[in-house]
Amino acid sequence: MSYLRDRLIQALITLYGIVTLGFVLNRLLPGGPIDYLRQQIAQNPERYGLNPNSPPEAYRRVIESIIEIPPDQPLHIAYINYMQSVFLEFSLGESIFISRGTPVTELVLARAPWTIFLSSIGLIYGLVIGIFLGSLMAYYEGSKFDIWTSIAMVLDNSVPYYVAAILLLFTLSFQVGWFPTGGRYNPSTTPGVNWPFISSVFYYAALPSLSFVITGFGGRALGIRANSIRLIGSEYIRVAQLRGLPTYRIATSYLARNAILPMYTSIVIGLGGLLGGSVILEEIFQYPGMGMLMFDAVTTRDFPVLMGGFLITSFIFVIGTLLADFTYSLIDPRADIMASRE
Amino acid sequence: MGTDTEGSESPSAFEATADYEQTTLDYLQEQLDSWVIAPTKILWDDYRGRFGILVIIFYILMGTVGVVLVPAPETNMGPRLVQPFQNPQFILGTDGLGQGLLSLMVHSTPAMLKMIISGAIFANLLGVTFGLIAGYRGGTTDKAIMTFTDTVAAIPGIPLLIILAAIIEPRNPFLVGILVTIQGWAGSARVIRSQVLPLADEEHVEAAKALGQPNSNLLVKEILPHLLPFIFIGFLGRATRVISASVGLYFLGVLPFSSQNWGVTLNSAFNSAGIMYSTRAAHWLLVPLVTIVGLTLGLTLLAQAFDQVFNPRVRARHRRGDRGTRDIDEPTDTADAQGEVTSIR
Repeated sequence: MSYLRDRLIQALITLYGIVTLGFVLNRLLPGGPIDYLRQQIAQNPERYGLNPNSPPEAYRRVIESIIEIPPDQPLHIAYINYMQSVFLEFSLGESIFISRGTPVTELVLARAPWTIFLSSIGLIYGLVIGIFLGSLMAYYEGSKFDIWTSIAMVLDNSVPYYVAAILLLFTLSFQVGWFPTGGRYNPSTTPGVNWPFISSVFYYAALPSLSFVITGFGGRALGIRANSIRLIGSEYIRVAQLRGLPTYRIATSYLARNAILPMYTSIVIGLGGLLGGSVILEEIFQYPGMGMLMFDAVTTRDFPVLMGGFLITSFIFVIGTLLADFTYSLIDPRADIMASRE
Repeated sequence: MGTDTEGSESPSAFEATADYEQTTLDYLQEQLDSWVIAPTKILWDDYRGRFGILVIIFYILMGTVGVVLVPAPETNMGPRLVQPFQNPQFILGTDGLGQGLLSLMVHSTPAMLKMIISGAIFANLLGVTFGLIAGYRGGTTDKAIMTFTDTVAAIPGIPLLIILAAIIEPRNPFLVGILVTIQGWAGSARVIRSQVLPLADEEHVEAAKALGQPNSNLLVKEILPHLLPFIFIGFLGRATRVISASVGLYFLGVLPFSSQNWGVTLNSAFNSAGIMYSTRAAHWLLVPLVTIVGLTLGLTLLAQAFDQVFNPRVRARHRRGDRGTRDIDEPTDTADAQGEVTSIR
């Protein structure tokens, strides 16, 4: 249990640190969100329900309602204020340009499921293909198949995902016309639990997630290959063979399980990469998820939305790693023992 | 100490000196051989290493000599959308603004190399420092540092970079390089720490500690050399990530277009109206894509070949000169084990 408790504390510290970073970026950086917003309001007070004759107090109130940080308070009070609104009221301010006055949490959370959907498809398929190819390569170690697949995997591993995305979009969507060039689902279907809608959701997600998948499995396959080759020679595998266990049992519960273990953390961290990478990917495929929202926010300099998107992405990632770590001690009982020994 | 059994004729083992005195030149030669010549030979013998070295030299030449030889890109320096390998003046063709793609690629390289150098050095420096201290000191220091690095590692990279890019608007390539690794060093800190942990208990480190060597000396002389493989490979790995992140940000248009970049070319191609519908401008997309993948591939292959340099078995085999034979000390029953395990899923 001590392992889980430590991880929980760690996750809370992480969340706290990330929100503090959010405060620092908002408040302390010159030219940051507060300075920017102040300029914007000075240029166009009417847009924010003010007029040039409004008292400075009114200006301050508007800024605070948008960014959740009182601009002219001493640092510690502003900090406590910000922490309160984030952790107790779950409020991250409101949008300035994208949708004036809408709470940021509402905007971002409406988009979040789409991005999580894309990233998890990319993660799962990339993993399955990587494990499959990696163990095949380990099994045929030294053969022509192994050598050529290794070269292909290295090549695959050095292609950034957005390069694959651009190529896929250009060939399969624009030139051949097999896939849509943007959007999340077929606009002629009605969202809900019906086959045309659900199938179009998968159809529209196919290329974006494919770009994650095909650039993701190379590194994983090489990792699984190296781990499996190392394990095949070890004694417990030999003992299992001497015990006359069926081959598939040795392969699945003795070999594969242990070959995946050392990669577990990197797999989880990969999820963070996918969530973050969705900014570039969704912009390429015009897929309106969290990433595209953040992109729109940065081009319009809608800092509250940008910061909100950043904080919520981090939150999802931290919660994801936490869940993964809890399941880790289920597949590897040593995790608990190791942590208690520390 | 009354009983001196050694007698006066044979000096104590601690005072013994070699018959042959090593001069500074010999020492330097030996160092050069083991640190520069031997590794280069091993790298060159590995097809991945050879390819990697050639690719990297090619890009370095592109960023230094190429800039002098190839004219700087400017709009309407030639007809628009010249196809590649058609016009000898524009070997790679021109883009929609009539700029030669070769000029664009070549003149983007110096800034790219600067980003790679500053980013990889920055991330490695932080990673090694934090990893070394955490692994060596252990205890509360370790816990505190690791909590900090884990927090940093848990920040999604690209979103943070976008915010920082929007606020700071960096123009200096060295600054861009540091910016894109501002969070990536945490990963290398973990790797380095996991390598330092077992080293800190090893006998030669204990011995040095017992001799009263100061901590700084210990870290630099006893532990750091063992980390070199991870530092080298980490450097190359970080370089590929600097490329992928910075080009990605330039492609998004988040970083200010102060200098040429492969991502900027990609951005202008991707965002030109109608370009995606025809194959007439495919080279405008393909040239920067191939340029990006080429350098990352070279770096990745070199990193893989570096594995060999630091593998003591390969090094020993190389010194003996009988490479080509497989390791004899490898247990032969691994082959049996492989034969038995038929389907690994």
